[in-house]
Amino acid sequence: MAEVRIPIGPQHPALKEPERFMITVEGETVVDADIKIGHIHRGIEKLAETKTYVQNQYLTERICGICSFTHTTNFCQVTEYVLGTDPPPRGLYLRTLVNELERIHSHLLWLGVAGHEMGFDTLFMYSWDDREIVQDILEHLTGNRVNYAYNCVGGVRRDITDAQKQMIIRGMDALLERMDYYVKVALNEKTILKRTQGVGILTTEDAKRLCAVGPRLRASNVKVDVRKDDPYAAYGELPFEVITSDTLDVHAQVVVRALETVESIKMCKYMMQNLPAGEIRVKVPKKVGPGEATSHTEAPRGEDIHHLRANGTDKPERLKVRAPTLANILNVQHTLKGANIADIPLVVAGIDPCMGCMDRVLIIDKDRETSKVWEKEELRKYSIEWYEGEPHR
Amino acid sequence: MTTQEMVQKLTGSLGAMVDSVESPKERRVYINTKRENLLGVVKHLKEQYGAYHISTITSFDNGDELELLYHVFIDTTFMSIRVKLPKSDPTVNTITPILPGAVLYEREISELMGVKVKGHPDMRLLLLPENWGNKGFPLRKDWVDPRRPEPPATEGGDA
Repeated sequence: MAEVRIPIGPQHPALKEPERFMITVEGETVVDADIKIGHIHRGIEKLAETKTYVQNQYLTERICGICSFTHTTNFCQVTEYVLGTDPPPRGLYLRTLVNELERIHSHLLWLGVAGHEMGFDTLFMYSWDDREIVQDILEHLTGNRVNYAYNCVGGVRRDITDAQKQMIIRGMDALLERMDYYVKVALNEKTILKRTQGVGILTTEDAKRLCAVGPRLRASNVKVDVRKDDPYAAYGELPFEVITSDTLDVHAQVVVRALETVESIKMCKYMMQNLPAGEIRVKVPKKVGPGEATSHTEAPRGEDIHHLRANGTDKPERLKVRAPTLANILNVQHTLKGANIADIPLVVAGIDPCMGCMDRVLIIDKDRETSKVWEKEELRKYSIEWYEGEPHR
Repeated sequence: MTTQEMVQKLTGSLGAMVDSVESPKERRVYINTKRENLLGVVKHLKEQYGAYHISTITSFDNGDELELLYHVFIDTTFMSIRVKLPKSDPTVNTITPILPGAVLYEREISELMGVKVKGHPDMRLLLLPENWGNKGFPLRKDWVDPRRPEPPATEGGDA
């Protein structure tokens, strides 16, 4: 059968991080996948060299729209490491709290998106509704739903009141109850099982070889979590489990993320019940260094890294950032090989990237010299109908 | 094993391949080496210490030399292998045969910092647009944006 090349992407103006996949197919099967990224490369590393450390807190916040807090945590930590500053325990607890709230909202968002991709829109409605509980808490706590501007070098910017503490505990209790339902759905729901089991398998060796990170790595049965292996902020004092799964497929990722959310909810509750008293931040000098440091954190999507070299002025000499999606691109390229066209949305959605890449699909049949542009919605509809049409597996 | 014990063990086992091994902080180790020994060090870390995860490669422009930090995360220790290259000959061997996960990071340092990676399987542009041509390496300190002149100095207060 003749091979056909399908470019997917690059972008949707409303979503973040577009990528372009060039897919080569033989009939229904993907035989090769190639990636082009950088469509929204904004030169933030270069820009950071021209901004002061205070301005950079706001710049790094804007690296990602979903996990903005993990980037500011990283930036504040590298600066604190170079300065030799230790934020007060209460500040560290609050920083950890927002990190975990961010993970909960990000995982619930992903669960909804994954449900939508597999044609299970009820799940999308439910999980995005429950996500509002976390979003309301974040808004109360920081003033914003995204880009919280809550972190600062030396601690956090706002203290928490007893009323807010109670609100968080109530919210977490409500979410815990809802998560029971989601875990049950993830483990038993027929639509989910049919669309995700055996799809996008990444073996343990391949996950290690291709340096996968985050839930994708843990779904390949590798017990690595920066929060446990290299504890930062208050993680060293918190009780939590690192969730792994041994089924290696997209279903493993659904289960890992669902159970991880439960752990995060419990951590938030624990932090509210054991919040240390005292200051939330310490004053730090405006000029930093000379010196250099590396910080990495477990973002909702995996390991996130900042490396800072300071030269004694109020601006960094060099700030290096590596966000988790870049590390996961290689394994998507690998798992797409051998997949069905209808599974492309789920395999790509599996790593929780930015869905922008799936917006435009251009199908070119070289032999017949015809081409056809597919919108994302068409690809999604095609994949749902393809599975409804006949039992393919 | 504490980080200090790790430093001693590394100094002993890497021997003449490295100039020094140091640890400024718990769970952070810097290995200073020369470019001809880079592959040997990475191979040693993989075979003797079970290294498989390369987190990223950081590049620096230090004036007349370029500096690279290969960040390798082993169990609980974050290691950075430091290599310096003269700007007149910024070539370094690819480490992708040992750690295939480095493939995107090597493309990144090549196009943004102008490091020539020898033996890399795929040197197409990764982040920069395909029509970038020879507009230079954006992360170098002396790079000026060719598409836009410097903004004129503003007169008076805030606009």
